[in-house]
Amino acid sequence: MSATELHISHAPAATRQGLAARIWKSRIDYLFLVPGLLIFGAFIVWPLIASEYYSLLTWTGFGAAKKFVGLQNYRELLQDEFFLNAFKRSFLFTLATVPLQMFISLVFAILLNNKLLKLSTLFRTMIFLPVVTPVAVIAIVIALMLSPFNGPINGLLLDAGLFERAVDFLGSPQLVLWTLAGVFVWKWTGVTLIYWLAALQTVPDELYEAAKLDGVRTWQVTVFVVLPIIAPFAVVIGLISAIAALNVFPLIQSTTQGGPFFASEVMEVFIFRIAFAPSGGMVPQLGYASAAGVLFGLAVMILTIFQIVAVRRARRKDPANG
Amino acid sequence: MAGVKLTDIRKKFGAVEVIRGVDIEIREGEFCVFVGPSGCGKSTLLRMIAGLEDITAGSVEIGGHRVNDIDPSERGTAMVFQTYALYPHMTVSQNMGFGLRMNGVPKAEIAKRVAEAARILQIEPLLDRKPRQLSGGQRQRVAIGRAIVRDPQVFLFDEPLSNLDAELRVATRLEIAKLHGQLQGSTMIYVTHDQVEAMTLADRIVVLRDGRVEQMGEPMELYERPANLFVAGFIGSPKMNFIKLRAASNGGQPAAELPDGSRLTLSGAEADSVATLGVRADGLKHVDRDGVFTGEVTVVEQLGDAVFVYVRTSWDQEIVARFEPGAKVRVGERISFALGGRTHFFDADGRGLTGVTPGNTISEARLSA
Repeated sequence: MSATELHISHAPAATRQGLAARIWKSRIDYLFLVPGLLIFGAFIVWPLIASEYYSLLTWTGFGAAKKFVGLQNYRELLQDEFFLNAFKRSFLFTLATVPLQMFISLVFAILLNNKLLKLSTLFRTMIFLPVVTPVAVIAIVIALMLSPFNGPINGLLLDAGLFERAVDFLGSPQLVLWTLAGVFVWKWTGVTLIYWLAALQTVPDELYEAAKLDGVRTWQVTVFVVLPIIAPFAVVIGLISAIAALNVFPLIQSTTQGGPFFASEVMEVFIFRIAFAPSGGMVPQLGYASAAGVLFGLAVMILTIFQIVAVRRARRKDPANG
Repeated sequence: MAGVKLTDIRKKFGAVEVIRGVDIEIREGEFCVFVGPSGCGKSTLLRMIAGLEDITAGSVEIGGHRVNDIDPSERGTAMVFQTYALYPHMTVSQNMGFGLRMNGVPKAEIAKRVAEAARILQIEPLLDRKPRQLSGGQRQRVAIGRAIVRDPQVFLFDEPLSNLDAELRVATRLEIAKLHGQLQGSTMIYVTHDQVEAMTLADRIVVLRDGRVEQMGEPMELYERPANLFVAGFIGSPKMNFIKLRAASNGGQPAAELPDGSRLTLSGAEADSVATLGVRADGLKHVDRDGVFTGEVTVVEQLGDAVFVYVRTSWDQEIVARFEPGAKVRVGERISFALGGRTHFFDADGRGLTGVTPGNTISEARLSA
C-alpha cells in the first residue's frame, strides 16, 4: 500500500522528466522531422502570420518605408468595388464549377464503373489527361481552340449555323468567366472522377447481383441503391472541389490575367495584381493585398467549417458507419 | 416447385476451365448440398444456375425448361449470399420488399408477403431496423426473408453460414433445416466447404473437386461407401486414416503388407488391386495382443462423449482412433490396434474397391473376451 502511494506521489515529476528524457532519447527521430518543419514553417506558418501583420501596414513590399495604419486597409477594402467584385466572382466561379464538375464526373464514374465496359481504362485515361497537362499548355491550346478568328470551335459553330458571327469566348466580359469555368471543369473532372470511382468501390458487387436476381433494372439500382450509399461522399468531394475552384489562379493568370476589363478577375488574381503587378503606373501595395488575402482566407475558412459540420452530419446518418 | 437438371455443364474463365462437364439432377423439393474444397467450382456452379455467370457449354433446366438464356430474375430462383448483400440504407422490410416494389407489385401485396416471411423467420420485431442494427444471424435471416418473398421455385444458398461465429452457425443451420420443412416442396441448393453442414442439412450431397463431380449421394451413402480416396477423406470428422499397402501373398490367399511389414489377409474379387486401406477413427480397436499395428500415443483429445487418441506408428504416420469416454490412455503409451469396424480399400488410382474385406479383423468374441 505504501509503495503504491509512493509511486503516485512521484508520478508527475517522473512524467515531466520522462518527456524531456524521451525526446532526448529519440533525438535522431526528431532530427529527421526538422527539414519538414522548417519548410512548413517557412512557407505556410510564416506567410500566414506575416500577411496578417502586413495587412496592418502601408507598404510597397520593397523598401523600408513601412507605415502602420491599423485596420485602415480593411476599411478601404470593404468599399473597394474591385475587391468586392473579385470576391463575388470567386464564389460565383465556385458555385458554377463545383456542382457541374461533380455531376459530370458522377455520370462518368457510374458509366466507367461498369465492368462490362471494355474500354473503361481508355476512357478513364482520356478524362484524366487534362488533369496532368500543365496549365500553361492548356492556356495556349484553349486560346487557339476558342479564338474568334480562326479557332476550330467557332468554325464548328458557324458551320453548324448556330451563330451568325464568331463568339469571342475569352474576349467578351459577359462570357469570359463562364468560359473559364467550362475550361476549369474540363481540366479537373478527372480528379473528381477518381473520387467518385473510389466511392463506388465501396458498393459491394453482391448488392448489384442481389438486385439483378430481383429483376431490378439498372437505372433503379443506380437511383435507389448506389446513389444513397455513395451520397455521404458527396460532401467530402464537394469540399475538395470547392477549395480547388477557389484556387484557380494559374488558369486565369495564364489565359486572361483577369481581363477583359477585370471581367475574370477572381480574388487571387486581384491580390496578385495589387501586390505585384499593378496597372496604370500605380505602386505595389503589399499591405493592402495582404488585407484582401486575410479577408478571403477568413471567408474560405468559414465555408470549410460549414462543410466539415455537414460531413459530420452526413457521417452520422450514413448507414454504412454503424 | 421444380427440380433442377444440369447437363454437361462447362465454364471457362479465359483459357481456364473451372467447371469440366458436370451432370447433376436435383429432384423437386430436395435439399441438395454442393460441397468441396475452395476453388472446386461449387460457387461458380451455383452462380451459373442463378444466371450470374454465363454458361460456356451444357444446359441448365429448371422445372423442365432450359434457362441458359433466360434473365436471372425470370428463372424462378432466389439467392442468399454469404455476405448477406442487404441494402445498408433500407430497413428490414424495405430490404425484403425492394425487388417487388421495383417490379410494380401492389403495396398491399408486398406488405402481405413481407409479413408472412417475417412470421416464418420470426423477425417481425426487426422490420423497422436497418441492417447495421442487426446481428450477423439476424442479417442472414433477413437475407433469407428477401428470398422467401419472391416465392421462388429454387432457393440458392451460397455459403450462408460462413460469416457467422461457431455458435450462431449451428443455430442458423438448424433454422435452415426447419425452414426446408416449413417451405414444403421447395427445392434448395446449398453451397458449403464445411462437410458437417453438408452431412447435417442435405438430402443428397454432391462432392466436387476441380470442377468435376467426385460423388453424389445421400449423406450416409457417402460416409459409408465413398467412391474414392478424395470423398473418403473429405466426408467425416475426424478425417479417415489412410494406410499405404503393398501387395503380398499369404500362401495363395491375397494379402497386403503394412508399411511396418505386418500382414493383412484379404478376400474379395478385387483384393489384388488394393493399394490403400482406409479406416475411420471408430474402426480401430485397442487390443492387448495380435493387433495389426502398434503406435505411440502423441495427443489425447477429451470430447466428453468420446476420446480421440492420436498415435504415431512405427512408420511415422499419425493415426487417430476413437475411444469410449472414460478410457484411460496416456501420452507416450504404446498401443496395439486391430481393425474392428468398417474398412475401406482403394486401388492405386484412389478408386474405392467394393467387396474387399480383411481377414484378420478382430472378432466380436475376442473383443468381449
